[in-house]
Amino acid sequence: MKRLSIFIMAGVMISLAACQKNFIDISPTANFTDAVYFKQPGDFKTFATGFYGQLPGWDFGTMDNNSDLSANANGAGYDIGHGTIATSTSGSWDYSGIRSCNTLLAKARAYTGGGNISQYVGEAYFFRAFAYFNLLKTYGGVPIDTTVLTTSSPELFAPRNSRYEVVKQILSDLNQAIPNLPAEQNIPAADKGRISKWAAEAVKAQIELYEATWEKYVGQSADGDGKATGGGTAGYDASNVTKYLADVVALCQDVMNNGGYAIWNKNATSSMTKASSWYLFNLEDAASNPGGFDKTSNAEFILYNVYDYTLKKGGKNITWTSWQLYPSRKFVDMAVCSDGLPPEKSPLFQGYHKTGDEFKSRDYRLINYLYSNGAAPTAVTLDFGGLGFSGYGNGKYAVYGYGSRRTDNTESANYPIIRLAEVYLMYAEALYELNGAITDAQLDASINVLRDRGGVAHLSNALVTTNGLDMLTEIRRERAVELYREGRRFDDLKRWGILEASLNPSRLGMVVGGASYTTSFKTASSTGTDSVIAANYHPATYVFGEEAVQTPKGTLTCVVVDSKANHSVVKKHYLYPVPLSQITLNSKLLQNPGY
Amino acid sequence: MFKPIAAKPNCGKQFFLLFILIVFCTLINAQSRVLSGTITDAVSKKPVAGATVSIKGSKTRTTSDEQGRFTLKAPANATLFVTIVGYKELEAAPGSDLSNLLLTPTSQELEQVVVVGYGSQKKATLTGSVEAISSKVFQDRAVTNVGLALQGQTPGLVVTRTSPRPGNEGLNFVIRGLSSVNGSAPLIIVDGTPALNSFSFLNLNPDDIESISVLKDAAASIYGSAASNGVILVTTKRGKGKTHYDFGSNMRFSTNGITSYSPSMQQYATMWLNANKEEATPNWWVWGTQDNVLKMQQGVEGAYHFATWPGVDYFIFNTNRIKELFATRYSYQNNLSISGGNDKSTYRLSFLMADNKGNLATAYDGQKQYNLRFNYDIKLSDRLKLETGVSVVDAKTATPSVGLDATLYANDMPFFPAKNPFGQWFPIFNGVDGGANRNPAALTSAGGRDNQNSLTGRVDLKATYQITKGLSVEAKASIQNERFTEDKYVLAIPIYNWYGTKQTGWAGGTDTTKTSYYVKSWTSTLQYYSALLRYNTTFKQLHNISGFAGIEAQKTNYSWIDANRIGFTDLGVQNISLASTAVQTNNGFSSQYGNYAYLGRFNYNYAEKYLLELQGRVDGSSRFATGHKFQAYGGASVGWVFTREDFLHGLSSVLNFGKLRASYGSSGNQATGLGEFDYLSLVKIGTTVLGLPAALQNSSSLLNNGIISYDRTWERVEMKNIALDLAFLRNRLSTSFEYFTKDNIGMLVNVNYPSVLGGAAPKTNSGHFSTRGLEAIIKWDDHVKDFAYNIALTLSNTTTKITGVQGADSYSPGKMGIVNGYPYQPWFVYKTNGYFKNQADVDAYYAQYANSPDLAGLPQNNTAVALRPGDTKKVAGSGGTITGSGNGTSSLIYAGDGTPHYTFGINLGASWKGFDINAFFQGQLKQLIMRNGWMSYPFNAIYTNQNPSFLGKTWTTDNPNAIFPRLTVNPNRARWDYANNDFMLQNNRYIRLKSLVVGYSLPPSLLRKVKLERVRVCFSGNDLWELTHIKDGFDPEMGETSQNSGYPFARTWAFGVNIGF
Repeated sequence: MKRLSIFIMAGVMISLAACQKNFIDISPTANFTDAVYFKQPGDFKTFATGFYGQLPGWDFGTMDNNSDLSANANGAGYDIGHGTIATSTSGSWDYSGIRSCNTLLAKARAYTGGGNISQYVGEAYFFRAFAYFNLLKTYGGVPIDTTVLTTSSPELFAPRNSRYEVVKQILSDLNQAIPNLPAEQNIPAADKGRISKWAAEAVKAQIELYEATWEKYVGQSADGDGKATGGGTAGYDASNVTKYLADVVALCQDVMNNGGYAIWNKNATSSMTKASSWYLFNLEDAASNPGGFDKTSNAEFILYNVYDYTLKKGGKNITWTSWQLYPSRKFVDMAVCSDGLPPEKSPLFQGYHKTGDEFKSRDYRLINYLYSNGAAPTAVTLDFGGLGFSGYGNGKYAVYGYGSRRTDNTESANYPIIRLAEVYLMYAEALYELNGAITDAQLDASINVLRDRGGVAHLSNALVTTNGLDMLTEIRRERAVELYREGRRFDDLKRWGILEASLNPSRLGMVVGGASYTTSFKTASSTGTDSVIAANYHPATYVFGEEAVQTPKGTLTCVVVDSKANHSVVKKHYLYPVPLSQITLNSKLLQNPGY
Repeated sequence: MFKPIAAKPNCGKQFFLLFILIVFCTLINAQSRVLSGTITDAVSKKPVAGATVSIKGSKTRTTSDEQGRFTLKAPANATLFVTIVGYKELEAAPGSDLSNLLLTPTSQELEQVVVVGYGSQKKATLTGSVEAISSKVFQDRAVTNVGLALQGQTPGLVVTRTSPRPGNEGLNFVIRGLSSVNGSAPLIIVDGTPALNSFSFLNLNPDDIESISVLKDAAASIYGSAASNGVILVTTKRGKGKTHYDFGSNMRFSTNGITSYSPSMQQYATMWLNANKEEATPNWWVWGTQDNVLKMQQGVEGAYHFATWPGVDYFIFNTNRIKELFATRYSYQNNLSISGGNDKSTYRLSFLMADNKGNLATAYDGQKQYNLRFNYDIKLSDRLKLETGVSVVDAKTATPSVGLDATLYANDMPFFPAKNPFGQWFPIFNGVDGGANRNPAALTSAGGRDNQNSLTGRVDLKATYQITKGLSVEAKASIQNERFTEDKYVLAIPIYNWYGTKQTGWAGGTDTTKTSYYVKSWTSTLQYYSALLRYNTTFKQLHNISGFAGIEAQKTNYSWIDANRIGFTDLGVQNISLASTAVQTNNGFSSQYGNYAYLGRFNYNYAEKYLLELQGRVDGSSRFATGHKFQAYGGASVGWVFTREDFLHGLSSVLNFGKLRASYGSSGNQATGLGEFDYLSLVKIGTTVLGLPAALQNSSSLLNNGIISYDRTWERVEMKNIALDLAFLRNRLSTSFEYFTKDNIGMLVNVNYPSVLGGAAPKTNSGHFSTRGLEAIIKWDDHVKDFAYNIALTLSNTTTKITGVQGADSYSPGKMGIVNGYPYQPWFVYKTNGYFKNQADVDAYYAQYANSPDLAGLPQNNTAVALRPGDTKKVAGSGGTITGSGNGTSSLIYAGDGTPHYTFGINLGASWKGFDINAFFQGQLKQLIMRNGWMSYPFNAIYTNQNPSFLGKTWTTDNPNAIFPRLTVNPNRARWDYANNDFMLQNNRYIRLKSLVVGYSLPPSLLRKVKLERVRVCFSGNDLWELTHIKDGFDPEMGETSQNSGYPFARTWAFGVNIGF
């Protein structure tokens, strides 16, 4: 026993004397340090794979809620829709993605190993451009940082760059990215979803169209002078508008001609009930539509966020919520009739006397987006409810087989970021903005492919002239209808310079009419005034009452879902205010004009 | 009796076997002649049992029996020593009369020896602030959890819990108030070694605990970088004297205490009716019409019809969720210990077996615990002593895997019974759509189980070698290992409507494709080594010197793996191997961290009158870069026992003892916020889904986006303490008053850089958290003949203030975390001035404050949200508008802080003959809270249950002076009326009868006949009564959220028996 204890004591003493190194000079056992990383192409690939978390995904904030085409009370988008953007909390002044890209680019510059890392360098340039575009859209000019900063970098306290300098930086990054990225055709199946050359070109076109039209219609009014307010106008060049528009046309043509993409039109398959525009947005496995199409059939999405029922579910109650994202009557009146004419011009439009009439002979897209693969209901009870029921439903993004095949939060369709349809729309718009004209052949090569899917007559110069239409309005109409609830609406209203005019009127629901225009909701009473049909219409629930507005059938009374009294959008709302927290930290950041 | 076995020294398995055999050995040698005598208490004249009688210069010793009698064989010229704790040592010269040896009692309080860091000291000469808690605290208590038993026991230690669920109590320990925003958990030391984790402390067998010391001031500095929040030192029992068996058992029933409100159908409907009565634009939500709600108010049960679900028979019944889900539960706890020893070796072997259940009626929710401990000490020679300890704790926590959340009661109105008439699960809202799927009874009873098992083993070895008199060296090694495993599965439960039709949804949303099986295995190992050289000596009987110096090293390794499979059906056997392999994922991690320290202490006292202590430590940590690893800490304290001064002798009849002491020390905070390798830029590997078909690809990123810091270090806390200890009237009255300050001068705080940096910079040591506090203890201990009684009061309070935290200057409505210049967790609330009296009052308000940010969401022309008479009138700030931002110019006022204040404990005890009673109250006099969550105020959300305690207390035209504003069904206006308004703050003042023990010990005369030493029966209750200031119906210990599970805090009624022989 004595020997044993001496042995123990000696053991303890020896292990202590064995030097403190064993206790405090130790290394991580389950992490690499960056000193040993970035030594082979696989490390760059893995790091670039991490960027894909920056892509937008399923989120109700990107569904144009509270825009002029939406009449629901979902909170997302409330501030911009109503003109109540507060300076304390405004948008996301986020550079974390940019830092990650800068890290990869810095490591790539120092890389001396073998193999090819150019695709991943290209991805870093792409994601950096994508992040700066988001900042540009939100704030205008922002500080540009292309190196990995430390807590003592002077760049932390630099002033804003102008929007023109930011655009230049974005385009320069994309020019670096495009030649480094593979064509979609060369991306192996296991890597589908990674950025292709075409995706980068489409994004570049999107940015150039955005900037060209912004400079054309908004001008420099939101820039500030860069001395007292805003990011200033350094680097402005009036000739860029034309240059950018020509670029958009060329980029779109390259994607259209060489990208190998195709519009997903399955209308010919009878079981698809001419509802391609609905099934495209809930496309999963072969059971996700009666035609048995799965994600491999989708050659329309150019840039998208990959979801998967097994590995990455949508994680949002997409179907349930989207059912409540009621459209406004403005959107319903916007879609054309099957003769290609807007309702106010079309003899096919049947008005509002009977519920459901207004949907007869209309664009499939209107039916698909509102009522999925079904038809518009012929009976509706107008009750404001908690969310402000407009009378119209929403079906876009809802799944096929809800409850039996998919339940809330398990919807797993890929989330579209740019699809071929948008490339067509950009092509047509840029051509018209550039030349003031567009040929029928150019229309047939682009947006008429979309009209085919919508089951409506082609847009042509003849149709426009004969019916007294305006080609630009029709191109914009086509864009608004096709890209309904795809997160483009606010940006479009801004770059077209019509944000205030579009957002300040009330958001309206169905026509309820009155004694002079009877509907399922109101008839003329025996005494000669309105008589509400109580079973179909609960006027007391509509807290904002009714409003008479211009409709395709003249001035008629509609229910108000969100009153114009609640909307106060003005010029300053084209940009968000720079967050006060950032101005506090860096006094050189000047606030945007008007805030 | 076993015979001693001569075993060869051997390692391995035989080692412990040998120990176990040896404890039964006794070594008694033949002696020359028999001496006998009787030992009596000099004051009470009663016999003293258990005193040790030994012979000078010999190892022979014995102990006195119940009558104080002893016999032992001794040489004729033997000098006898009689010792026992609580009495002065007695020396009987050869030939003196042994028939009546009188022992003089010492003051127990002050002669008490207290365990301090790396040793023990006499309480009388202690200069630091150390609170000792004896094993009495745990005796007879009907709690297995050590932390719960400590609640309120000592003024400086505040123990809070947020849940009554065994194994999931959410216990939090704070010594002397918070000192950091990064966590203020005390360091826990068990038998000289840091506990592996808090569970290895909480799950100790309470019966194994000899004492607990709480080091509150500079006395903790000796623990260096981990000690700024104080130290809890636990010492376990060791064997002594003759072989002693002790068996204790208690069985207990826990009943529901204060339960969260579950309104009746009538109350719920009344809330809606009263609220809509005040509305210009009524909103009946899915109930559709006033008529439906009136039916509910009349208590009409059965089928309803709503426009929302045309053609659906919608069944509503009066259902009390709380009664459906919670009921009385039975728990037990059994202890057995065997202890004993002689002058060569001592041992104590103990077992605990306990099962503690929460009050959930639908499924088992509790913890089973098995403890085994074996402490064995042996003197290998006169100079060498070996102390060992081996313990195993097996704690199994089993709970439902789903459903213990807001589903239990806050989420839904009390309308939906658990089952339909066919005995099938009936969900909320009749299962009308896929989302109407909640049913807490179904989820908790059939939704799967979560079984967690923590198995902790620990081996301690300590060897002490006496080099010369006064100089010794000791070496210590301790290995602790925890193996934690979790098995959790979630099952799909079909739900049915009232007619027995299966609905599309599944209970809780877990359909058959979402069932899962998850396992986790976690192992962590702590190795600890120390070597100390100790010295103590006395010069000229006056100068007492002692001290030690040494080194200490420790290292913790942990690793875990987990795995998940999707698709599991419970057919009675649960294992991951039985789940589907179609989708399976796994993960893992491991890491390590260590410390290495040089430490020492020096104590000097002059005649136990002038006291001095110095201590220091240099602590090295693996968490910092080379060159930044070491930090030095230290402390000094002085004391003056002024009652030993001659000039105060005149007072001694009143004041027996008085000591003034002061200390200063520094230590570090082992706070969260410091990662294990923050000084390195680490690559984090994750996964991203890509490909067609989709598959997981590895992705990587830099941890913290690659932003690192070299020079940050532990938070550094400086502690100062000044105290006065007094004992009066023959030690019957003792008091202690302390004032202390703690200043965290290097608190880790975020420094906000402009966001262009691209990530959050690591926290830096730039914050300042200062804490000031007072503690008082007053005890009275006396007896009148056979009747003994005692009273103890403890009270403490701390106040805090934070400065120097960059970016923490602004505040918004509610409880903030840190705001410079304010205490921790300051409340900023809207100042209000009653309610709008009439419409003119409202109109004037809108006109005056047209541009107020807070009114923007309540426009006057929108009748659904516009303010009306009866709504709250918020007062404008100096900026002239109604707003919650802008600090000084806003409508907000500072209303106090949210931490507990004036926490107290009251201990009342009395005994008479064999009977004893002890009542312990605990509580606090001030803590500002404001309820948050769905039940915090009416119509926080319209789709939830409603809190009926507001009924009748809200403004109406008939009741314009009500304490709350009017009811409204609009959540925006309800927020304006209630949320963060000054009148919504409550003082969470309460006093709770934490424990009540009534016991009876059978008289020794009776016991001797059955050869028993002790038989005791007792009733023991926990949390049997309380007085609370809470107005909205919740338990005072529950915390602020109103929508956690609603799990009632239990009252425990226990019956115990304790037998010793």
